[in-house]
Amino acid sequence: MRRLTLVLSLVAALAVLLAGTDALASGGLPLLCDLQAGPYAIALHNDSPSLVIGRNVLTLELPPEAEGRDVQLSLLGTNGETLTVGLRRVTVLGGEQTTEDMPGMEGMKMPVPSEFLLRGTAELPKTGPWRARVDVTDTTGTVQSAEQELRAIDGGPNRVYLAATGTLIGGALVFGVIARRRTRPIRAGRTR
Amino acid sequence: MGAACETNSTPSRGLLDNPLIFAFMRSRLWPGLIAYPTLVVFGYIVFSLLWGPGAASANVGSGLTWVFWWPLIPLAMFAMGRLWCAICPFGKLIDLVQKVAGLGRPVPPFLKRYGIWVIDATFLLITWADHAFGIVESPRGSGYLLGLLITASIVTAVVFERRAWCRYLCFLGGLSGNYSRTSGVQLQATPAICATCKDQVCYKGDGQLAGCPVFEVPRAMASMANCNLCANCIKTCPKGSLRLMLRKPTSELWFIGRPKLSEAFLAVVIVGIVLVQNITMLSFWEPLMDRLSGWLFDSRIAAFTVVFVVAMAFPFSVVAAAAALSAGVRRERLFENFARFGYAVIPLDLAAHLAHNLFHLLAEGQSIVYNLAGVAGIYETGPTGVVSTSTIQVFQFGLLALGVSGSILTAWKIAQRPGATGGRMREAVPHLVVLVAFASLNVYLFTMPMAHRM
Repeated sequence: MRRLTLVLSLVAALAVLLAGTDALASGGLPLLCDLQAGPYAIALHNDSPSLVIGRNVLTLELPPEAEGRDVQLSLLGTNGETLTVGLRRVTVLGGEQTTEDMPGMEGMKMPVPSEFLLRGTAELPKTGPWRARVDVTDTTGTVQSAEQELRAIDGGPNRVYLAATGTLIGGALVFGVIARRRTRPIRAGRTR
Repeated sequence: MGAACETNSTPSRGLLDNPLIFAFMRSRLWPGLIAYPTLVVFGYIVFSLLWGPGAASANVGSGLTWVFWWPLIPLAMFAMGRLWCAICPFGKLIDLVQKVAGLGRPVPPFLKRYGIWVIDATFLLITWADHAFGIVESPRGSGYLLGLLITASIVTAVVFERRAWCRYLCFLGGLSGNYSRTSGVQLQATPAICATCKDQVCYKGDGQLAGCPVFEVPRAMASMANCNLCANCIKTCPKGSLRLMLRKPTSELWFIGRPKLSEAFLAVVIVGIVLVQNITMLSFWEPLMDRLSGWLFDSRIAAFTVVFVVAMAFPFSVVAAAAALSAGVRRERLFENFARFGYAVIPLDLAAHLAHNLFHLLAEGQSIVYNLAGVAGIYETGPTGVVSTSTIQVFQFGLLALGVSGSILTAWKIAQRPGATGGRMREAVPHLVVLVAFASLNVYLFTMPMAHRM
């Protein structure tokens, strides 16, 4: 048995050396839309596959050229509502990307300008069409804008499902409580 | 005489000889101290799944359930049997419901006899539904699944006595039962002490504390498949009969007195389930689904169902073929041999299950930290991996090596049992070949790049 374990371990180690494969990329945050504000190609992500009623955590993925610019994101409703999203920079843990990982430039450790992320929350009051608007103000005060129409949905759980499970749970509990009272012996001294 | 003599002849109580462990297990703090906080966290997870972000990668509930809890649960089962069941939120919910609305009716014989088949069917159905409807990838889907399980467990708790749900219906309980047989601990009673006992408060309860919640009589308990180490029996036994012993991992599988086809079937089914879980995360999966869907009226559900049926039938057919070759040695029926040797697959099941989910834990574990930070208003992102992919593969192959070793040892020990007429080697070889084939298939799959779950 020990020999077998040893052999299998060696086979496994060999397989590891031969394999050297990477994991496939993760799904990441769902992309709501791409926005082109002047020269800046911006991607808008949400923490749900679409805009939803209630809390949305929106993330802007900006190119390195937008670094240092003032970036504003707002959601515009059909009745003139304006929701301004307070954006904060997302901290990227694990260090900045360097040329060390790039083919042909291994070991050089030169910093590479990379996309950066801004994130903020928006509480949407209703479903239906909303326009996402991004304004990028550069150092000269020029504002580059882009808009894209999005649709907000009710992203919560299915109400029929909630009603069905709630009824079953509630019904079972009520049934149990009532049936227990009926089967419990009447206390001494008490009359019906 | 004898107080001194009695003291000298008192057998070891294993881990319970440690005063700290003994005091903790006898105290009222166990398992409530952990079970109640777990119930609170579970409540938050369900809330997050149903009302939180719709993307699994951003949902704390999805991360905690599928990246953190699900990979760790087989490890816990191997280490401490069904200890999880003692702190499981469903179990605690059942206890609470029964205090106010439990009718305590006896479990019908049908459920006692066929409950494990219900578990087998539920496990297959959930695995199929996961991929057909994307339960794991969808927080809402995961929430619906948990909601259904909560509903079913509460209804069962209202009607039936004790934890009938956990013992006879919970699909995870069935899995735990199989995996816990490999664990290195065993709770057992001391026969000499129990022989003098007429009260059996360990089973019935003592009026203040309930008896065994999973219908076990400790004096007759030879398996860790159902015991959840809630320690009610340790607390109630007035004579200190209970012992918590260490044993050789997998050793319970070597001496299964009455092998059950349903349990062996579940063990073999899990080979297929792990196979499906692995295949669906490989790069060729989507093109395969596209092509199959094209042949099946553009239905991905139909396409997946075909793959699912094949993946489930494959290990079953292979083990059945091995059983057909092996059965002649004892002149037993095919399904008797299948039931006996099916248990040998369990260590490999556990290892493959663990190895698969280890990838998610170690390659995506950091995402939970980012999401939890996000809940607190701290926006962070970065690599989701805790260790490199090659390190994960070392763990995976190491686990598989241990698992297949355990399985081979188990198959060999099963073949050693008295009754063989044509040679133990002849009886064992077909099953050993199958075990090595299953392990090789897993090794091959783990060498391929896998997609993240979140």
